[in-house]
Order: sequence, then C-alpha cells, then structure tokens
Amino acid sequence: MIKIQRRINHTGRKRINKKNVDINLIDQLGAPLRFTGTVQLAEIRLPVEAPVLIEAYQLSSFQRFHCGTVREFNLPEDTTLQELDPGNPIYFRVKVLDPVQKNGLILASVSGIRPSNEEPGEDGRDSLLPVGTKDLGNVPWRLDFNNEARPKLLLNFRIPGAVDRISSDPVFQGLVFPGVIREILTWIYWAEDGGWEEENGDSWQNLWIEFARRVLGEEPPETKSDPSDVRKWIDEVVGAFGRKYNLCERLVTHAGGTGE
Amino acid sequence: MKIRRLNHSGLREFESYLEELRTPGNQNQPPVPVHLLENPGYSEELERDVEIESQQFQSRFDMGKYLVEKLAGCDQQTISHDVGLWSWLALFYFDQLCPSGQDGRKQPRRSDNYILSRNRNNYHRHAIRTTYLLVRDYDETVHFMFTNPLYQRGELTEQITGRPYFFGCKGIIEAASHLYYDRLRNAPKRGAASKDGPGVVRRFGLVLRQLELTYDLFSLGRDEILNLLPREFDRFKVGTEVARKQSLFKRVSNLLKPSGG
Repeated sequence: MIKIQRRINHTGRKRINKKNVDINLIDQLGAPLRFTGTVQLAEIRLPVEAPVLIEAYQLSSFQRFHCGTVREFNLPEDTTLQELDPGNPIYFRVKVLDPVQKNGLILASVSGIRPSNEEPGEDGRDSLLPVGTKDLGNVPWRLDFNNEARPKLLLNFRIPGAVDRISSDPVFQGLVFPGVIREILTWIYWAEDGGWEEENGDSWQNLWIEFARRVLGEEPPETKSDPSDVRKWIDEVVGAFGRKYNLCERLVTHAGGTGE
Repeated sequence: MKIRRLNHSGLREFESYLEELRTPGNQNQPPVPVHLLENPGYSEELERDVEIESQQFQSRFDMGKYLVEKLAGCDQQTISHDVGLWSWLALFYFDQLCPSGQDGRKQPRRSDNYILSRNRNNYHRHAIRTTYLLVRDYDETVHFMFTNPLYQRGELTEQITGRPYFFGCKGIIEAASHLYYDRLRNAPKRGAASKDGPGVVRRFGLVLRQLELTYDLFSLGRDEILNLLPREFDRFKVGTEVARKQSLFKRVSNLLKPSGG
C-alpha cells in the first residue's frame, strides 16, 4: 500500500508567513475568552474573492471562524472561544480556500500560530497587574501601591522562577491571586477615599473596578457605601474569580489531590 | 428521579469510588454510591425539572435518543460544559456503563469516561456526553457508531470521536455512515472495525488526516468526501460498481453452494 507522505504538496498550496498573522486573545473578564486579529495576504498571489477561515484549536478541541475574503478580511462579531480550554495553550490556523471550484481545496494556509499577547504582563505592556521580583526578606509576595501606576505584584526574588510560576503554576496562582484581588479592591475603596471616581476612565483604579464588575457580573457599591457592603462585594468578586479560573481545583489537582 | 448535578463533594466521592474499584486485591468492591444522586450534600437540582427513568438501554444510540428528548428543554450551551450534570448521569447509569464481569468485579475505564474532565481536550472521552451530542446533532446518521451496549466504546466510536475535529464535520459523519453502517442489520458493516485492511474505519481516520492538509473538509459534503477517498474504500461504498460486483459475486457463490443434507 502506498503511504501518503505528509509533506507532499501536490496541489501547490501556498504558505502564509506567520509574521503576517497577528492574533490576540482578549480576556473579557467574566466572559469566555475571545480573540481579535488580522491576516495580511497581500504578498501571496491569491484570488481576491477566496474565502478566509481562522480555526482556533487545541489538542482535541477547535472552533472555526469565517473571516470574509482575501479582499475583505472581516472577523465575525462573535469570536468567543467557548469550546476551548482557557487553561491550555490555544493555537490558530488560517486557511484560504479555492473560490472557483468550491471543493474545499486549500490554496494557502498556516498552522501553529500562537497569540501575540498570550502572556499578558510578560513585559508589563497591557497587564492589569505588572509582576516583578524583589528581596522581600521572608515574605513570599506583597503588593507595591503607587497612586500614579498600577499596583505591582512583587515576588520574593529567592523563589526560583517566581515570575514564570505566577503565570503558570496553579499552586502559586491559587494561593496568591485571591489575596491580591482582595487587597487591591480594599485599597481602592479605603486608601483611595473615593478620589478615583473622579478620575478618567483609564485610571488603574477604574480598570480594576471594571475588572471586578465583569468578573462578578454586578455593579460595584458606591465608595461611600456601608463598609460591610463593600466587604461583602469584595468577597463575592474574589469568589467569582476563583470559580472562573477553578483556582482551588487546579491547585488541588496540581498538588496531587483528586481535583474533582 | 429528577436529573441533578453532582457538586464538588459528589464528584470527589464518585472519583474515590472509581479509585477504590481499581484498587488491586480489593476483594469486596463497594456498591455504586447511588446515594450521591439525591443527597443535597453531594448533588444539587438543575435549573429546570427533568424526570429520568432507570431503564435498560439496548445500545448507546438508544440512550442518546432518550437523553436528547429529556434534555431538549435545557440550555444546550450551558449543559454542554456542565461537569456535574454529565457526571451525575454517568453515575445514574453506572451499572450499564461499567457492569460487573464474570468474577463479579467492576473494572472501570479512565475516570474521564464517567466524570467529565475539567480539561475540555478530554471532553470527548465522556461516554454519555459524546453520545448525547452526536445523536443530538446527527440523529440516525450516527446510529452506526453507537449500536454497542453502553459499556463498549467500540472501534468505530474510538476512531471517529477520538478526533473531535472530525465529529463537528457533517460531511465526514455522513460519509462514515454511508461507508460503515449496514442499515439492514442495523449494525456496522462486517469488517469495518477491523484493526487493519483496506478501507476499514481506522484507515478512514488516517486518510482524512492526510486529506485535511489539502482540503477544508468542513466545506465538503458527504459525496465530495467519498469521491476524495482512494479506491481501497470502494468495497464499503454503497451502490458502487465494486460493491455491486462483490454483492453479485456473493449471491452467485451462495447459489452455487451445495445444499445441506
């Protein structure tokens, strides 16, 4: 029996350069992950009316998105990735199909695209919570508050691979993030004394309040609210965040428990 | 009984039960923890009441049809990811999913066959959810995959559901049904599930993986996919010249057989 070799390209399929595909994941904070992106196809000779598809995929899951044509690349309105596991790496592939034969023939493609921003905070670019290391004595972590800049999570520099761990280690995340969220929201309500409300919408305080609002799906209390109401709201935000990212279950699983 | 969903404690208990079943040398296997099904400490009500009966299914397909009817009123997007619900259903039908062997012992498969994995990449392993989704989406077209009893996953199911990319593709499912479903016997065609040989379901999966490099299989219908398949699949095609010749040859051979006695 003749074996088909994977690398035979008998239909003359063209390769889309990875640098021409820019995909960004968007954490909707309380909603399923979605993506945005662009594909530049000008440097390949393709029929302008050829349909363009983007597939987001993991080991055993995937989703497809029809993105217009070579001439008019348009992402669909809904790019939520509800079928994919946000806890695992997500890859993308782009396909351009034959518009004439309409037989599904792939004219050009590229696979294995990783989102450009998959690790937000890696360089502090768009991160709500920049992360750094510092000598904190015998304290594993603390928050560095500065009214002008976003609070920064400082990890003890003696912890091996601390910055990597906070973005990937379920034990680290499970033990640190709830405390971080609680402390930042508490700071905003009490240490800031409500001054943040008058600031423009891009202030770090507003971004964090918006983050909390979307995680919980409920409006935040006013700054002059009863402290017990604020405390209750913060508790609920922390709980909702834990549920969203399965913090405890992932921690238990990673620590060798049943993990349910 | 009303369908419920296992909560964290219920899932943990179910997992512990499965682990206990797997413990070597455990002479006295514990009974199925059916108390979890209705105990509020281990399970909770669904948003809507759905009554379910404990009935014996002839096949996974029958179970799928039954559940599609029962769960029709539920929000499909929500239940699709409801770990507690699918795990509750697996516990409810556990005796059928994992019957005791001749030695009276149960030998469960991987836990994610019964407890829906938290990892969506392993969702397809769940015995009930996968059957439900395919029967819901394709109805009779997937009958050929689920003619086996609940406890048997089967080669056809393994090959087709093992690649979820394929089971979202209508053309592939219809092509597989065309190739491998013997409608007269209501069973897979003879030889379809063989481990090797031309045109068997395992080859179908391998050939599709090659074809998907060149073709967007989702854009293709049943006949277009069948036309792309190499000749080795002709023996399973309905109404092809090869199939007709083979069928004629078989009938003539039968006629020429000396009568018994």
